[in-house]
Amino acid sequence: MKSKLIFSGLLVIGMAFTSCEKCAECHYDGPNGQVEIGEYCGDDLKDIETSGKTVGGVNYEVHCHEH
Amino acid sequence: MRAKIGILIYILFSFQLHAQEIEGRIINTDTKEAIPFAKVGFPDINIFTSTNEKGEFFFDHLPETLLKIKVTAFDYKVLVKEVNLSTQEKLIIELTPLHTVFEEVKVTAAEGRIQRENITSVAIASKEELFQTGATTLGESLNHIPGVQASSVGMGISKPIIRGLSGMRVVTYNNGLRIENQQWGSDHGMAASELGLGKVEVVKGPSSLLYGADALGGVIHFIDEPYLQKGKSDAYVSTKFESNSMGTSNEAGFRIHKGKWRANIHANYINHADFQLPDGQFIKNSRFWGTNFKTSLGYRHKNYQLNIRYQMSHSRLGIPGHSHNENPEALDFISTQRERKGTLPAQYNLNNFLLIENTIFFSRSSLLVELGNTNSDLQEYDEKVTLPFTHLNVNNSTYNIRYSYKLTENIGLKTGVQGMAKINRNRFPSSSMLIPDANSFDNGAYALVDYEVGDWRLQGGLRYDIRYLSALSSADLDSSLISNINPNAMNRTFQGINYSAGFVRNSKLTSIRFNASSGYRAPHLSELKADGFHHGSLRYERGDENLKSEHALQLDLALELHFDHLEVVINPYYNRISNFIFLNQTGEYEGSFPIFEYDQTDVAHLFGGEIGIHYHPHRIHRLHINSSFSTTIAETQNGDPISLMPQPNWNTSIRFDIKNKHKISLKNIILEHVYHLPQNRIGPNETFSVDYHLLNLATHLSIGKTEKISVSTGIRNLLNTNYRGHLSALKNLGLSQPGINAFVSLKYKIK
Repeated sequence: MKSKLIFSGLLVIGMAFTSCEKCAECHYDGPNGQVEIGEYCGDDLKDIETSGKTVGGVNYEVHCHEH
Repeated sequence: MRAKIGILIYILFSFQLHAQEIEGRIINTDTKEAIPFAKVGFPDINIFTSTNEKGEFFFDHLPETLLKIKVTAFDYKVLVKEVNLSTQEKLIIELTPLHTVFEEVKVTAAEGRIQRENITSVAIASKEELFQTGATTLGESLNHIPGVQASSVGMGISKPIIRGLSGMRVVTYNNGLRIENQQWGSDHGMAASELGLGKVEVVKGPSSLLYGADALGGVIHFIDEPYLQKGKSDAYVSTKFESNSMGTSNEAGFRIHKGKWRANIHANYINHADFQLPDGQFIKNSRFWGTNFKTSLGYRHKNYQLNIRYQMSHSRLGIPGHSHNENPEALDFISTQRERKGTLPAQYNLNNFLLIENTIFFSRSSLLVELGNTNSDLQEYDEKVTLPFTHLNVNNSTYNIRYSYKLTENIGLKTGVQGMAKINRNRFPSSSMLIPDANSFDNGAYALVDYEVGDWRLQGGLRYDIRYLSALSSADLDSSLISNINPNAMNRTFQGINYSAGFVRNSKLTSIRFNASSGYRAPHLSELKADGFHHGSLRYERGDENLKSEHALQLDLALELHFDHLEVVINPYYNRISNFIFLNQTGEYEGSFPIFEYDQTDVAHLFGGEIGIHYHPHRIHRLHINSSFSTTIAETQNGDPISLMPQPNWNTSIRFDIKNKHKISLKNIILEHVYHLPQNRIGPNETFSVDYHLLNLATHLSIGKTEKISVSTGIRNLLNTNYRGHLSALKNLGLSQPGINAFVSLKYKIK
C-alpha cells in the first residue's frame, strides 16, 4: 500500500511538471479591423509571432492573446 | 603544523558534549497548586511540550547552556525567563493568575525576547491573526499590522510598505534567510507565502545592524510554524473558496518528530479568476494561479542543532492594464465577463530557497552558522506568447555567522559577520533587458552589547558594511535588447557604518522605549541603469549612474500603559534619510506611459507614528477591542511632499471569544473596520485619494469533540465599497479595488 501511494504521488508530481505544447488563437489588426487566423501550436506559434503574417504585400504583426 | 591544526580542532570541539534531561513542575504562585496542560518550551531551539495532570513536564537531549523558557497557560500571565540547564536541578516555575487574558505574549526570533522587552520597534502577528478575516494574499494580510501597508498591481502582486518605505528599502527574511527576488520593481511582489507560516515579525525603521544593508524602512521576517513535540505527528488538508474571484486555495501538510529528527512538509495550489468590481464588472487579466512547496528538516543531538529548510514557489500572475489603444480609458481594462484562462501580459515567477542552519550551544554562549541560497527567476510576457519581454534571474548566496555570549548575568554580547554574493543575469531569448547583467558582493561585521539592570535594559551596537557592484557591459548586444537600459559597464563600491543604541524600561504599569538606529542603502541597478519602458509598472523609467548611497537615522520612542483591562501604545518616530532616491514623474509621456526619473534629494524627512489601544470590558472578559491609528508624513528638505506615501489609516477590530463544548463549537466572531483617511500630501503629477471605509466580518468554528474540522467563514468588504487605494497601480488606470468577497475555508486534521 505504501509503495502504491508513493508511486501515485510521484506520478501526479511528474504529470504536473510535464510540459505540453503551447497553443493559442492568433489574429492581426488589419485595415478593416481584427482578422482571426486560427490556432497555432508549438514551433508554428513561435514562427508566426516572430515573422508576422504577410497579406497583400503587407506584413502585419500577429497577436496570439486575447485583448 | 599538524600540532597547530590539532590544537585548533581541540579548541573548536572542546565544548561539553553532554545532553541534559530536565524535569519540572508548573504551579500557581498564590496557591502553589499544580497547573495541568500548561505549554512549556524553549523558543531558541524550537521545542515545546505540555504539562500532565500534575503540572509536570520533562525534556531530554537539551543542551547544557543558558536558554529562555516560555510557559503559557490559560488565565495565567505568560512567563519568559532565562534558565541555566547545566545545573541539573528540577525546575519549579510559578505562574501568576490573571483576572483578564490579553493575547499570548510573543517572543521575537532575532533577540529571543518578548515583544515588550525589545529595544527596536517590533510588531509580531501570528498567521491566525493576519488571516482572521480571510485576507486573500499574504501581502493584503500585512495591512493588519500598525505601520504596515501594501502597494499592489491587481490582486496577485503586492509589496509591503513599512512607515512609508518599500521596495529595496524593505528587506524580507524567511526563517533567517535573506530573500532577493527583484524587489526593485513595483510590480515584483513578495516572494513569500502563508504556506506553513507561523508568524510574521516586522522591524520598523532602519535595521542595518542585525540585518545588513538596504533595510532602511525595516525588515519583514517570516517565520514558519514550529516543529511538533517529541513523539508526535500530525497531518491536515484544507481548502478555501472566495466568491469575488471564484478563487480556491488547497493545501496539505504533515509534521513529525521522531527521536532526534523532526520534519514539516507543506504544499498548496491557488487559483483565482478575474476579480470583480463593486459594480459587477471584472478587472481584465487580474487572474493568477500558483503553487508552493515548503519543507523543514531538523536534527538535534546534545549541544548541536541543525535545520535545513527548502521552499519552492511557482506562480503565474496576470498584469491588468494592458491595451493597444493610444489613449486608453478605464473601460479598456474592464470586462463584463469573468475569465480564468491565461492571457497576456503575464508574469511567471519561479523561486527556490535553501537554508542550512547550524547552532552549537556552549555553557554560556552559542554559535550560529547559516548558509543560504535563493534563486529567483522572473519572466514577463507582454505581446508574444512564445517570447518573453524580459527574463531575469537572480541567484543570491548568503552566509551568516553569529556568536552570542553571556559575559555576566547582566551583560550579553552578540558579534557576527554576514555577506552575500548576488548574480543578476538576463536569460535569452527575450525581447528586452530592464537591468544589465551584474555581480554584487556584500560583507559586513557587527557587535551588539546588551546590559540589564533592574527594570532597565540598554543596548548599543556598531556595524560596518561594504558592497562591490559590477554591472557588465551590454553594448555588444542587439540594440533592440538594450533599448531600456544604459548598456555601459560600471563598477562601484559602497560603504556604510551603522549603529543602534537605545533602552527600554518595563514596570508593572508602564513600558518606555527609546531607540536611535541607522541604516544605509546603495542605489540599485535599476535606479542606476534604467532607461525605458517597464510595462509591469505601467511607466517609462530613467535612471542615473551617479546616484549616491542613502543613509538613514531613525529616532523611535514608545510609551506603553498596562492596566487590568486596557493597554495603550503610543509610538512616534522620526526618520531622516540623506540622499533620498525617489521616482519623480516628469509630466512627459512616451506613448501612453508617463515618464518617471530617478532623482535624489539631499534630505527626506519621514515622521509619524502609531497609536493603539486594546480594551477588555471588565464585565465581558471575552470581548477584545483593538484599535490603532498609523500615519506617515514624508517631505524633502524644502517641505515638498514625497510621492507614493500611504494614506493614514485607522484599524479597529472587535472580537468576541466564545467558550462552549458543543459538537459544533463556535469559537469567535470578529468584526473589522478599516478607515483610510484622504491622502492630500502628494508629489508632483500625483493625484489625491479620497477616504473610504471597509468592513470585514468573520467567524470561526470547530466540529467534533476533538475539533478535527475547523471552519472559517466571513465576508470582506461587506459594504461593497467602491474605493481606489492610493498605492494601487490600478488607480492610475481609473480602476477600483475588488468589491464584496465572501469566503469559506475548511481544515481537516487527518491525525
